[in-house]
Parts: sequence; C-alpha cells; structure tokens
Amino acid sequence: MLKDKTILSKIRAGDERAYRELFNIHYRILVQYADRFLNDIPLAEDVVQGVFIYLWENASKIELTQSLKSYLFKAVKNSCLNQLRAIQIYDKHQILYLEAALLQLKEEEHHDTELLEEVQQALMKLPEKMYQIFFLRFKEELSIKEIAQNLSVSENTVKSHLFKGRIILRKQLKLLTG
Amino acid sequence: MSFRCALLLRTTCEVNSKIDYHILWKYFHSDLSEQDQQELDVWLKSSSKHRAYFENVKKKYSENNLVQYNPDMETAWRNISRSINKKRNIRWQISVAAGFLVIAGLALFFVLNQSRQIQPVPISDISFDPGISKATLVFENGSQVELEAQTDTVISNDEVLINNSNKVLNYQTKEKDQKITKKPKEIRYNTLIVPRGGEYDLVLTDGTTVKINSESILRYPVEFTGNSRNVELIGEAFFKVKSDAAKPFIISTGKHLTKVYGTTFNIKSYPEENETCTTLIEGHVTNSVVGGAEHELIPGHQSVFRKDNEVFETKKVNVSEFTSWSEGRFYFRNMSLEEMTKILARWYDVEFQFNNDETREIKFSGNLKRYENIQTILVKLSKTNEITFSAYENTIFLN
Repeated sequence: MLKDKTILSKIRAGDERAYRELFNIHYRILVQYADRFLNDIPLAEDVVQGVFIYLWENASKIELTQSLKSYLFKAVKNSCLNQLRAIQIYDKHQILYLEAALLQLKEEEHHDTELLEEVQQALMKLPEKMYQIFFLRFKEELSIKEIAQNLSVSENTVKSHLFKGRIILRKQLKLLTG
Repeated sequence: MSFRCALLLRTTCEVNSKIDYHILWKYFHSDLSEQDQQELDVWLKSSSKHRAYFENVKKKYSENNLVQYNPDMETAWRNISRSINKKRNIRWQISVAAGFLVIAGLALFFVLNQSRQIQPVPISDISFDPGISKATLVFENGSQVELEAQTDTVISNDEVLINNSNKVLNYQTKEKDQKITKKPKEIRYNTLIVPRGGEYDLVLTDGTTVKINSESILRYPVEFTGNSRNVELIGEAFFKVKSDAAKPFIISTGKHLTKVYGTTFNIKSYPEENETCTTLIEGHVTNSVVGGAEHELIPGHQSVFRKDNEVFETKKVNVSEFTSWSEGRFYFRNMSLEEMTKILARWYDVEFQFNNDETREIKFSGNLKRYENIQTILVKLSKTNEITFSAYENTIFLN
C-alpha cells in the first residue's frame, strides 16, 4: 500500500519509467480479465489501454483507498460494464464478474485478494462432487464433456452441478459484494 | 392502433431490448423459460452488435477454453505513450513559458558568477562504475523485495524454498513431506526486474539457470507444473535450460516464441529495438511467431526476428560476440559505435550523445572487461584518434 502510494506519486510527478513498469506488470492480466467480460481481445486491449491513459492523465485526482492493482482491476471492470451497457447487457447477477473472478483462480496475480479468498472459501464449502467439478472446470480448464468423462457422470449432471454451485457461490458472495 | 400508440410500443420495445446476462448464461447451461426466450429474441433482433456478442459468448462456452494470450506489449505501449505524450506536449508548452523566467534568472546568475559556469568534464574525469548484481523480486501478490541490499535471504512458502545468496536467486521445490498440501494447486508466477546498471542470476526449480542482463524483466512460474515450462522475457538473458524431453521450455518475448528442450543460448529482445536475436551455443531450439511455423536453429547460428514485418533470418555468427557479456566480457567485432553505446548505456546506466551522425557509424573491434570502470573502455576507444569523449552529469558526449 505504501509502495503503491509511492508509485502513484511518481506517476503524478511524470515518472514515465515507474508508469511503464506498472504497465509491464499488469497489462497482460488486465486484458485477460477484460476479455472475460467482453469476449473480444482487441476491445479488451483498448479498454485496458484506456484505463492506463486515464491513470496517467488523472493521477493527481486519484485517491488510493486500496492497492493500485485493485484500483486498476476495478477501473477495467467498470469500463467493461460500460461497454456492455452500450450493447444493452446488464450483469445484474454478477455472473460475468464471478466468472472473471473464478478464472483468476488459476492466475498468479489475484487482483482482489479479499474476493478471491472468499471465493476459495465458498468453493471449499461446496459438496465434494460439486467442488471437483468446479475445480476441473476453472482450474484445469476442462470442457464439460471432459469433466463428464473424467468423473463418469453425464454431461447434464456436470451442467446442473455448475448451475447449482453458482447459485450457492453467489449467495455466499453476496455478503461481500452487497 | 393510433400512430402514437405504435410509436409508444416501439419505444417500449427498444427499452425492453436490454437483457440480463443471466439469460445468456442460462441459454447455454440450462433451459430458458418462454419469457426469457422472448427477451433473448428481442435483444438478438435489435442489433447486429448484439448478435456478434452472442456468437462470442457461444464460442466461450463451447470451446475447450483459453488460448494462451500473448500480448503485443510494444504496440500496446506505443499506443499509450503516443496518447500521453500528446497531452504532455501541451503541458510542456506551458512549462516552457514558465521556464523562461527561470532561465532568465539563471542567465543573470551566470553572468554574475562566470567562474561557476557548467562545463563538460574531460575523459580523465569521467568515472562510472560497472553494473552490479541488483534486482527487484515481485511476488504473485504484488509484494516486492529488493535483492541488492539483502544477501542470504531465505523465503519459504508452501511449495518452494527461495534462497538468495551469493548474488544468485535459487528456487527449490520442497520435498513432498515438507509440502503443505493444499486442495487447489495454482500456477504462481514471480517476476524479476533488473534495472539499468544491474544483472542477476536465477536458478529455477527445474535446475535451469538464467543470467538476466540490465534493463530486463523475466516472469516465471514458481513451480513448473503442466506440460511445458513457460517464461516471459523483456530485454536480454542467457539461458542454460535443464533438459527435459517431456516438457519443452518456452520463452515468449512479445509475439515471438523460442522453444527448447535443454540447451544453452542467448536471447536479446529490447522493446525499443526492432530485432529479437536468439543465439544458439549448443543443442537445439526452434523459434516461431505465436501460432506460426517453427524455424529451427543450429548451434553457432543466430536467428534474427524483425518485429515490424515478422520475418525470420538465420545466419552463422561468432557466438561469443553475443554471449560474452554473461562471462564478464564485452566482445565487439566490427560493431558500430551506435550499437556499442546502447550496450554500454544499459550496463553503466549512462546516456550517450553523438554530436554528428557519422560518428555513429564508426566501427570498432575489441575484447574488453565488463566489470571495469567505464573510463578504461573510453580511453581505449579514444586511442584510435577517431573520437573524443566528454561528459556532463550522466551524459557522455562523443565528438
């Protein structure tokens, strides 16, 4: 946090090197994150570049209440939701957000540790079979078909577990996301 | 129905054409109620953009997931820096105006204090120490450790032991019984950032050693799981990859991939330069663009990949010209001053300024020590009587 404030104040002072370092570290993961919402890599890249440009130009106005990384992820998320609003999509049930968060599980850089821990814990609370299915789907990235073969169950069983599991997860996560 | 009513209906229709993503999700994962289906139909009909998004969602849920995403960092950075520098120029003009006042003040100061005028120092006073082992280690959670100041640091987490001693950062997988087994096993990455005027040695858990040169970044998994060993590089590094025929070691530098099974080679790919050079000492490597054909490279040869037109070229080279840095020497063979100064600038953390373009093209050959003060090198270069050096702060001028 202190470090982040230092980086931000460097950016405020026009330190392009500090800014570029921030870009180097986070660009890739942010584009992947945006892509979970938009399903469109070039658009996701535009969004993330836009967020970085905004950060540079408005560094003096930004008040950090969290880590710089969390700030970036939130800004990207908001920008993505705006993009979706333009094509009349609303993520009322935060499914896209949950998906993005779940897919972060296998990623190294957890943007929102608090949410992630909550997701991890919620996952652990799932019944064993359901947990296995979520694990295979989101960590090992198997397809529904492959999971069905692996666990010798029908594809429909896998689907219904994923469906019910999400409802449970969402209820658990409501506590956090309000 | 009156015209007004029809209009009203149309408007309502448009308003209703927004959709909750939940309906899309249900469409692909369970069943839709009739009402949901209707909403979806209306939404799909109302715009081709909606249909395009729908197709992409379909792809997401049907495909067996994620293709590895390798961003084109240079293009992305260029876009950003173009945009921020445009704005900056305006800011700059304002500050120029303000600057005039300062300069006027300074001018007066110098008139009054002529003896204190700033003058470049002669070569005998140019002294810059060579680079040293220093780097910043960034963990997956964003926390950082500066490795220059600390020696003999031991960081231990659930899976690995990270030992920093003797200027080598060493990753070791823990014995099975020492490991705290956690239910999910995620691939975690660390990043080593080596600044200008720095270098660092790294040993990965598979036994691969990497020497990372100045102004370079390497991102690597803490432990190698999965079917391949993937790392990402910006800048220059010298690799000795532990052989493992079952798990190729893949280095990505932007769009360019180098795939090896066990061998020794050097990769140089600085963002500001148009070429990615892979120089092979022994073994076997292939180079490719993401998704493109693999180009084989044999020992004693170098692959040059041009980033702008994505063309590969292979040539026979004297490998020590490209790898000598990792053994503490600079081996320049018929190299232009311009190329040479780029290398020296990174290692000594200085800037070079040419007073005319002809000087850039002057060629030199020589075998010099890398861990010596820059003065030794400059003196040798100036003995040729073709150039002289002077310096002011950390800028060295070539005349």
